[in-house]
Amino acid sequence: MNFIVGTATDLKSGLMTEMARYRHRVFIEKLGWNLPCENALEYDQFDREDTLYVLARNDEGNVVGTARLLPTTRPYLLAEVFPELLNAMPAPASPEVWELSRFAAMDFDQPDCSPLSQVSSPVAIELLNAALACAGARGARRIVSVSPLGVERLLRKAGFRAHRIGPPIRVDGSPIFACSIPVPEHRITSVRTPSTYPYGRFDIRPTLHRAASLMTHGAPALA
Amino acid sequence: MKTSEDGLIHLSIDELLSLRLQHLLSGLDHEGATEHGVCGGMTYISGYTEWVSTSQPAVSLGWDWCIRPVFRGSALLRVGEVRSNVCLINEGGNVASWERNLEALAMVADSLPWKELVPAVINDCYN
Repeated sequence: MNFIVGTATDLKSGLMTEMARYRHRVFIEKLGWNLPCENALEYDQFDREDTLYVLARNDEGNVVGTARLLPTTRPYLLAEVFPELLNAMPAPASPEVWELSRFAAMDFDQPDCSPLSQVSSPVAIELLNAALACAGARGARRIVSVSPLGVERLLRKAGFRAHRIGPPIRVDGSPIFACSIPVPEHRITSVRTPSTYPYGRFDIRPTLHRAASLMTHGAPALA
Repeated sequence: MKTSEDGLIHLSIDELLSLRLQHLLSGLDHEGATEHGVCGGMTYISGYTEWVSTSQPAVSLGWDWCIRPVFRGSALLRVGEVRSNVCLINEGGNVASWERNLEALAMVADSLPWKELVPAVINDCYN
């Protein structure tokens, strides 16, 4: 497995289309989310030129995971679509807070591929760590996310000291909530060893090393 | 009571205990339900429950539960830690450790009448 990180410009149209198709398979076809889509591709208004993506691909080159990172200094999902999840708190708007969305880790090449395991698999944990490291390298100290309620349980089991921002609400019958995940120093420095990240089209290792260095030496947030 | 930038509500245990916490929602887990679904096998039932204060900002507590067989019946048990937006502070105004916070919140959760309420809610939702 390898990770690829970049903006839409970095990823080029072919990989972006692959990611949008994967997102459609996960969120629309598997999870049944009610989102407007065309041509079996899932995009929304937050897929912009400055949006950062983290993709996981298996050894066959197929996408097995996606994550989307947005700075809270520009419009993002929690603030724009689900402000009621903020529990009367002002929406974060800081270069030190980024939003994680469209997080998925399902390998359709596996026979036991299931939405229920998509946030608890080793791929999911690695992908989340990669996303946290990428955000950390850009000055993030904290990640916020709108997630199904079950994700909170899985984050806790995986060792993340995440917490909810407010009570859950039901959307289309399913409870969702806003969570806050600190960018953990020990995860960035211990999980991100060069050997765990094979070369990809866009090698994630320099980003991870930079994130680890920032967190280790306590350098100020990136400008 | 004070909300920090990351959304945690800082308050003392006395302040927390003075709040009225009410049931928000409960549900059953669907994951893993079929793992033991062999004919004649034991059924494993588990779920989650959410409680919220009537105050603003709202204090939120949630935890998992399961039904375990006991002698001549079954019992509802809390499983694992409480998930919350509460960060307890001590008398000196210092923040409790992560572990101490979870321990105290678990005690608060266990003091709520959830074992009486959740079965009825689940019955209403799924029957």
